[in-house]
Amino acid sequence: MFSARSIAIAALLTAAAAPLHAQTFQDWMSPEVQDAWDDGYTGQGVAITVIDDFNSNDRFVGDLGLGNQFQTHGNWTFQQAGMIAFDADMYQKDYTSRGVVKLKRRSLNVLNLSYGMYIDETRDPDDVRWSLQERSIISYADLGKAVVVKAAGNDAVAVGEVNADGYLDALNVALIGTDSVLFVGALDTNGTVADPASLADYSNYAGTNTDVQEHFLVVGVDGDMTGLYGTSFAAPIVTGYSAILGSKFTTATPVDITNRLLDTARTDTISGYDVAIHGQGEASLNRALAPNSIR
Amino acid sequence: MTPAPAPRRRSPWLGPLATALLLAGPLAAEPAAFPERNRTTFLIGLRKGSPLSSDVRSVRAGGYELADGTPIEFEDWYSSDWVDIGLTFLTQLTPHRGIIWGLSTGERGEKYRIDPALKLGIMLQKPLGSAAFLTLTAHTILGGDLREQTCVADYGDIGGVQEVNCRLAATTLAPAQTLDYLLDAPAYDRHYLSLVFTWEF
Repeated sequence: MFSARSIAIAALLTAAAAPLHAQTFQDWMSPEVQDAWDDGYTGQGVAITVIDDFNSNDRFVGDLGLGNQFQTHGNWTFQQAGMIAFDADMYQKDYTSRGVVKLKRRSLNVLNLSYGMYIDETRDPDDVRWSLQERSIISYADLGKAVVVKAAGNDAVAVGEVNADGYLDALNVALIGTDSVLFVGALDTNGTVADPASLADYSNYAGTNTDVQEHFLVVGVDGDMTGLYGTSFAAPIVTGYSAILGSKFTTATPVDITNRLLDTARTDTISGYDVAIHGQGEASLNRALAPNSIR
Repeated sequence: MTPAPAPRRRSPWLGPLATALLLAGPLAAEPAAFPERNRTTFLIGLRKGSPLSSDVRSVRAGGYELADGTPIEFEDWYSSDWVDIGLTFLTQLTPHRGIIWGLSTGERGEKYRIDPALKLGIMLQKPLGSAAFLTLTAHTILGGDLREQTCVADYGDIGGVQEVNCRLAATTLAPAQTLDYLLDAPAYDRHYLSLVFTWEF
């Protein structure tokens, strides 16, 4: 049996302090976010939990529109999700903890996972002994109890495949086939019909596994603008979209939210769209909010 | 798109109607027996369109896409081949009294309706010497309300079929919340009262 690498540091699920964001549209966001705000996004009833690195000394500079900041990976993804879904209840959990991820009752729960759990390619991912943390996350995705937004990875391989260094993201593998997971890859920018975007050269892609294709989305990550590259910064965007959807459709389940984003993704804003690369397409908040028909 | 505010009712306490001035001549005669054959009806107002028509016009621009990208244009819902037309008359009963009456046709589009209206009122004049007089004008409008119709939107599994405000169906507002922003307003100047002092020199 092989244990997933983890450091036994207890971390409590803590409510966030005042969010490190301003309710201001930033250029790295899709214009659809501004449209949603103009309509008065409320965000009530949605809880976003960001599981990431909040405690290490590994910090880096970026700028999400509030000036240069120097902070941990987790603080970046937390901030980014909060800037899109600024009325959601935000929670952070350090990924080195082993405890169960607690869901908020009477809320739609969205979990943001901008990290991977890598194992050597010689190991069987089915033999991973998950901590309570990952076990709870996988269970929530399997049972549709939370929207689980997972960064696809930055190895330029298909989700679930071994990377060039001989490692495999076992957490990706464990989430394949679950009901409420969204794998998120990165486009090089926000796509439009007039100027379609391409998959970022580092981004993992959907691959030939239809279970992955059916749960794979892409969004623009304008690293040139923010200094932040990677699918880590694609996932919080979809996390924010999930929260916005949840505040409009207050009786929707996590599976409903997941399927809505997948069903309404756009393919006409992607250059050379291919389901094996881009999955269902570029997430579209506008279309996810809109009715299927109206009379 | 920001929900459109409900049209505001204008204050009935407006300044003098030009009508009062127009009628100053014929109604400023000395009190005398007024035979029925002298009772004249004047056309004192003719309008095409109305403030409520303008309110509807203001929401006509814009639209959104459905979940599959099908464009929805508000122009289709909030346009009308016929614009509300109103006529107002004054029938002189005595040299210093008259009845104001009028009607408007209303207006209808696919998702809104301005009801036809009837206007009823009075105009009274009181001479103050040889060159001055007071004119009291009062009227009320029956009907003429603006009402916006709802749409039925199908959100699929995520939200089902719901009654919504057509214009706000694709916003972040919960479908039921959008109904709070339906256009629903009475005619402008529903109740009107004015007192005008006129001095000719």
